[in-house]
Amino acid sequence: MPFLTGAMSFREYKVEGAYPPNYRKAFEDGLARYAFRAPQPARGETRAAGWANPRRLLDPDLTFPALLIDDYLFAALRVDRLALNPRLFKARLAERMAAKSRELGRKRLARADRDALADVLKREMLAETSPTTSVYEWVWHLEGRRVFFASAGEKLNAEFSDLFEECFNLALTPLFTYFRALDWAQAHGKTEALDVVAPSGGML
Amino acid sequence: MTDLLNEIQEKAFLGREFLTWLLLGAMKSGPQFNIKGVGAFELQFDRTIVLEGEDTGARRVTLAGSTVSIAPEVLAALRSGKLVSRARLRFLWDDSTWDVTLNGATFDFSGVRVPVPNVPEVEELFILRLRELEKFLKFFTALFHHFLALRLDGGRWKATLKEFEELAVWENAAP
Repeated sequence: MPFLTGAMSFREYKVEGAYPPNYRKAFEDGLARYAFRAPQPARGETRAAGWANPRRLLDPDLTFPALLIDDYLFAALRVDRLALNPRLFKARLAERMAAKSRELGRKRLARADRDALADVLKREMLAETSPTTSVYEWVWHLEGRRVFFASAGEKLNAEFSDLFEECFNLALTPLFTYFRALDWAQAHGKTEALDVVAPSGGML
Repeated sequence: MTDLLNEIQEKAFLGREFLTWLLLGAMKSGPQFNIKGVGAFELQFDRTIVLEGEDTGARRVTLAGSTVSIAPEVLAALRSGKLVSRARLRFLWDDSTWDVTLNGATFDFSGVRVPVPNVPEVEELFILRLRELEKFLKFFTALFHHFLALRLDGGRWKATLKEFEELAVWENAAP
């Protein structure tokens, strides 16, 4: 729980674009639409991602009263992954293939039969498997138009900002060195100087 | 999009030069800074400094220890053209002490510790932590803006580099 206790690690974003007139309702609708839903192995899903309440992970209530603390919307990106135990899968598949061979009175199964057995077994085993759950907190200071996402991983940040943009119809700009410099340069008429500035080539 | 990504990568050196400027400032004048628009503060390079050349990777130097910023290896790495790419910093400003590890290329923050009183109520604690974090980010932004004003002014930056060169000469002459 980095934003509640201990040290905080995060990437900072600036929220771009105007909030809709009734933003509270619009944002709550977005949160509900993109709420976390468990992966469905019957549909071939092994991974699912969506919003959750970091303080009550299983609570489906993602309304403002549940998530808002002062002017901070405190939520999480929950990611569940289902993975097979490969050794167990191989062993159970071998059993099923042997049983099927006996049933058909053949020494070897056709490739299509093997693939069909593997597919059914995979879905069965995934349905029995507990997911690995990761929770990445994020905080949105609504008035300050800043978002802090508790991960520095590039893929995860890309997934987070894509989901945020789809959900709230607002773009996020990561406050990398360049964007921080660009903000300042634009405000001080120095964009040309920023465009041409080059490394000093060592400072001693 | 590719142009923007190129621009982000091409200007990432500004973050490394910013950290190096802070380090050289501390080596030159000690941990006490007084910067217009920011105010008086103390900066300690705490525990870890990573220095890299422009072509990163094999030429990376990582130094750790409580007196890392005055280690001769740091000056040697700076003289060989390396810049600080990551550092653990402690800022003391106003009545706050902030500990933070900063990645110069991305300005991602990690291990940020902010001072908050011990309060039993979770929501109150959360608000105090976030307010203190935003106070730090405001301070940090003002500091980076001061650096930018210097860095994007050819004449002032040249003068700053000259001062640092004098530091290197002085350090060389030291017994």
